Amino acid sequence: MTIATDWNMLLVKGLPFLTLLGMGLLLLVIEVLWWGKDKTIMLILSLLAVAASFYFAWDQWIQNIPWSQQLLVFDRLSYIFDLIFLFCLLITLLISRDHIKREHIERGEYYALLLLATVGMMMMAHAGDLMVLFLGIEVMTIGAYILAGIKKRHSKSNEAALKYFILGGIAAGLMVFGIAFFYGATGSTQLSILNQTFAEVDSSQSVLIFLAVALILVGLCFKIAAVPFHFWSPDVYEGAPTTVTAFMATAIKAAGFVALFRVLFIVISLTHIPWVPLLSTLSIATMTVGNLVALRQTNIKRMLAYSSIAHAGYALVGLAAAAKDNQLSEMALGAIVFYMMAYAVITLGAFAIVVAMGHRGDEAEEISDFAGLGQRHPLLAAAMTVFMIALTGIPPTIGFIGKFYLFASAIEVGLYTLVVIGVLNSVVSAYYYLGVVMTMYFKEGAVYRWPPLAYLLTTSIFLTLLGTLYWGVFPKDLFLMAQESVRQVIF
Amino acid sequence: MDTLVLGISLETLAWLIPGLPLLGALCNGCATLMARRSGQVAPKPLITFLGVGTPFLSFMVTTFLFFIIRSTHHSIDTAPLFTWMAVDDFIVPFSLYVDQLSIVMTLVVTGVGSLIHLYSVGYMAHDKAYDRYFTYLNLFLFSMLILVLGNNLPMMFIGWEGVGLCSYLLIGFWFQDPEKAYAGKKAFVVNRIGDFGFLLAMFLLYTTLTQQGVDMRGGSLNFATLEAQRQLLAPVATTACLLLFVGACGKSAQIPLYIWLPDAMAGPTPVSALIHAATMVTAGVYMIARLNFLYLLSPDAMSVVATVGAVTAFFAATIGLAQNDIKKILAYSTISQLGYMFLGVGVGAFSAGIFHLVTHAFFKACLFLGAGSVIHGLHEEQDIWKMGGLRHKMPVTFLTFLLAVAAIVGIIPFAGFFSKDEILFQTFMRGHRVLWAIGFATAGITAFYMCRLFALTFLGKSRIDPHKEAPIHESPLSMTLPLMILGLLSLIGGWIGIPEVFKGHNYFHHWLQPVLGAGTLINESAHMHGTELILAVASFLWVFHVGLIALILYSQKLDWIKRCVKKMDWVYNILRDKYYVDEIYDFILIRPIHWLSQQILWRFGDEQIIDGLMVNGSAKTINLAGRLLSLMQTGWTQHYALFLAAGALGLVAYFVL
Amino acid sequence: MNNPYLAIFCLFLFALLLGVGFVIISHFIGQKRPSTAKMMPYECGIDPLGAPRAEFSVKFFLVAMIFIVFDVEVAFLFPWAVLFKGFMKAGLGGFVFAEMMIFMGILLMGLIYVYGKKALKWE
Repeated sequence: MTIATDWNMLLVKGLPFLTLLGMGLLLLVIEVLWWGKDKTIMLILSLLAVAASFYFAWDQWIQNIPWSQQLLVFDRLSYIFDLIFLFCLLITLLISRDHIKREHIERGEYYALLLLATVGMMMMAHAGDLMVLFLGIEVMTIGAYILAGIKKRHSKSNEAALKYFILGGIAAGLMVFGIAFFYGATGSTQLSILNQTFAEVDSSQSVLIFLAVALILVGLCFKIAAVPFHFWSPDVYEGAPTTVTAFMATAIKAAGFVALFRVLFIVISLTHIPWVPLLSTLSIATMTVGNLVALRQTNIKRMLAYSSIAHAGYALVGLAAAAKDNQLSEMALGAIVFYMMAYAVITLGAFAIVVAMGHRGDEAEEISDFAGLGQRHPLLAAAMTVFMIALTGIPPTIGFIGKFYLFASAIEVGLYTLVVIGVLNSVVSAYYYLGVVMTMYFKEGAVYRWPPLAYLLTTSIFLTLLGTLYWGVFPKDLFLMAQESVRQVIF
Repeated sequence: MDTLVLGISLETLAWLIPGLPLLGALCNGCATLMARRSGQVAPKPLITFLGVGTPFLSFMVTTFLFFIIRSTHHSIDTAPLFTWMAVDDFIVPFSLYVDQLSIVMTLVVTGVGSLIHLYSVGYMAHDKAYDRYFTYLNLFLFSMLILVLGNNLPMMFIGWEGVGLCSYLLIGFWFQDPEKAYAGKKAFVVNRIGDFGFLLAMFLLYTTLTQQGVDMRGGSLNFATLEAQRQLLAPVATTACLLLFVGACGKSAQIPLYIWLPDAMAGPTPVSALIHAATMVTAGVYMIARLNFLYLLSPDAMSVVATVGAVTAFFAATIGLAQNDIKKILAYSTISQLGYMFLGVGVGAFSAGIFHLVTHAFFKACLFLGAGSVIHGLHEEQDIWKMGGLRHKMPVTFLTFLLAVAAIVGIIPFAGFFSKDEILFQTFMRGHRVLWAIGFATAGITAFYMCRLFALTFLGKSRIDPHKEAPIHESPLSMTLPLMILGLLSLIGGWIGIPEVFKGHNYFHHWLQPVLGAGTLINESAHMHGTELILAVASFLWVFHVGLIALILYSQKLDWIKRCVKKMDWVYNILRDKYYVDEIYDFILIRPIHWLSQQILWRFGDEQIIDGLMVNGSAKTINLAGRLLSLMQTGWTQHYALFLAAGALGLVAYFVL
Repeated sequence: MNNPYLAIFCLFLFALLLGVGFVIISHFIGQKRPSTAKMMPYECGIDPLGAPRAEFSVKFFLVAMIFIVFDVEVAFLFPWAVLFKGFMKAGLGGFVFAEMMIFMGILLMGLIYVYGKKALKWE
């Protein structure tokens, strides 16, 4: 085995996650060496790292020089997901400060783990080898386990972390099992080699490969919380600190999808697997269960958890459309990438408002806590209304555009039934999303003077609101970006 | 056409005509709303100034434009103020078209309108909603002017709907009285039926033009476009014209949609004068004259129009014979006169129809305002059997009313004589002998019931309730001044169209010649003069005698009349009850529809199927499914792991098998 | 029937049957004469005192976990050391050395963190 790697190239290309990695480690050291009690420096450093990383990733996206170094690949698809993760991280950091202060979890580890988990996600996006993919997943999830349980004295948080850990462990085990089968069947875990093998050898008879694909899919479906691998997510989302939930609901979901992309690019050529029925079934089950159960939730975080399940289902509609003809179609993939961005922007906004609702000792996580918000804080209520409308998929918001592209791509390939079910699901979802709006405006609530919102929180709400509305009206540039990102994918 | 007048272009002036009343409506509306918020009434002088001033200004601008058009012989087609709709090749510019026809209409609308606004100042002086009244009235004027001046069908339709709305608002002006509110609703609903036809006609015209691939960038339904492409429209002309005529029937109260107009008298009397006599109800006639090029393509549609007009004229006149409410009589008279106009345009004598429209606006407004003056003087008394002998107490009203009655009856040289005879002559000359006979008979009936009304109100002995008698007085100047002007116009208004046989110049018809083209009059050649003269004299003698008899009978021989009525009471009852048309409609249309909507569509369709089964049913099903599914969320990690394993097994099985 | 794995399968099956079979057979044919002494737990020992879940110091686990983490990571040094000469010959000595230093540096940061968190402090 020769070491023909261009290390300088790797360094430059890998700067987005190297920056975060370095800063994550540095934060851990600062945590033990820093003498002051104020952790603001941590936040500032994290934001700096995010900014730098964002710049590097953006720069690479613009340059658009696809390059593969067997273990890691660098193409526009990976960089666009880097950007999505960084956006999620940015908003999470912005809404974190006040929340973690009043929850007494303001520690260096909090920031460090967020950064390191993001590094794991980026590894997933850049994975050129199933082992790297798995490593990325583990780095991301271990960070998420700890973050979910970071409220040490809080039983729900502990419960969330433990459940997440046990179930995540099972899923990870199954996935490694699948990777092992791949290795057993083909002698490699490298995606490019797998691709060649599938092209040359007729592997339709190999039970091992089917087993491998099935088990890896289980692991990835667990990450995106697709039914029936979704049971962890409501409990974990509810127990974890709200900011962490926001991060998990958006960034981890996007990471799961990019991992799914990476695997599907290879295994989609296995013509003996009925991809469209499989993905359609998953999609229908996911969005239907997510929406139906969300109807009955009274806790806003649980409700958003089920809603995130449902949205994964919508995105799977796109994947089913993309899988037609045993090659991933660009239009549908672009629609999914766009949908991930749309979903991230809206959901982060909604969570920012949930954070803004809370006070010391009262996190206001019940939907009934929103009663009378229309009078108490009209602007906040208006923003929440926009996010709820966007999640339902009503124009003029990015949520509508996202769903529109997804369903359009499915119609393009003739999956009418799937689209009809998707639209019906959107109708059902309107009930609980607009239920929040109704609660805010038409229910009497406690009247008290609203304390001024923190600047960072206001900024994040403003940013997400702007994104939701601006890209809802002028989606062209963002959509072109998403389309460009899936044009030249390498292994 | 960019002639500048005092630095103001003609286009701007054209825009000012509808713009000024709109300004008045907006200002008055704001003032009303602001006043209502603080629980007060807007200051009356301000409302009066705006409400009456803007129509007058508008009238002056119109007069000015009239003289310009007279000297230049050009029409003014303004550039679009904005493009109202632009969908693919369906383009509707918002622009005005001022030509010989529309300027005449505009003169009538703003002129008579201004007078009636002025009259309203006195009539409504003690009303609590004085401000709201003027808001509506200004808004009406604006809508009517858009209807008249719009350069395309959709704009005409805005005006069409706008006047319908204002009509509804003003009929139900005293909405505290349920009956009046109901009358407003009735007018609105009946008008909607007509509007439906109008809309369908527009759709039909547009689709026809699109299918032919006509370039319609200037405006898809502009009158100019339609006229230029009229050959392409020939195949659909009959359908389109009939559909449009459905609209006209609704707006202009023709059979079978006339039933709303008598009820519309529930509104304040000036409103009846302005909207339900002089202007709005003539919109249908104007529309047909405007689209004369289209109607000329379809002789069938024309004869339908003429027949409906003639029959309506006769039918409404007979009902008028047996009514006792002063305003109801005038309402039926209006329907009847509108029938004449439709007869005129239906036989192809468009200018005669418009001529009658103009003179009718004068004398009918005068009649209504006179009636208003009487009602006002008698403190809301409308039954003519409780009047009588008012000539001494209200001399001005009496005199002006007399002039107007002479005009409507058709006495030489009053306005109505020239216009009505024009129509009858044209009908006769174009070979519609039966229709002419109906029209001729109707003229006699008209003379009879108008003189009956006049005699019972002003002549004879007073039958007024003695308690009410004392305070009767003549109306204030703001009311009598319009009366006097309109009375004068009833006398001289017809002189603009004196036919050549009476040594006139038929000025009015020459004026409309550029717009209505050859479709104005059959050329009055010398050998026709004999016929025309005979017809005119015959008709004059006929109405004069009938009128005289009615006058004498109803002022001197009331006992004899009563005995007559008693003998023929079945005829009388049928007439008094308006041929039971309302009841028939109620029985064959309203009740079945009501039953259908109540029992089938609402009770069964809406409540059971849609609400019960579809809305609540699906919601319940979904809720139940949600409940069942959430049962799986036990909170036990073991269960979750089990589900996960089962799912994995399922997936593996799916792949391997 | 020519599958080479068939023999192995048969072996498994035989072992399973044998194990389960003995237990079942003894259950049926063995005599049972329970007595007080026999029913007591730990016939050969003393009676248990207190709950079986004893308290223990969590510090053991903490230290053990930290040990495992660092031990496993440091185990990378062995293959590195074995292959180092080969790399030197290929002219990559400096680079590979730097790489290991970075790896050690990361471990060092972990150690500093562990130390700073007082995870290694007994008492």
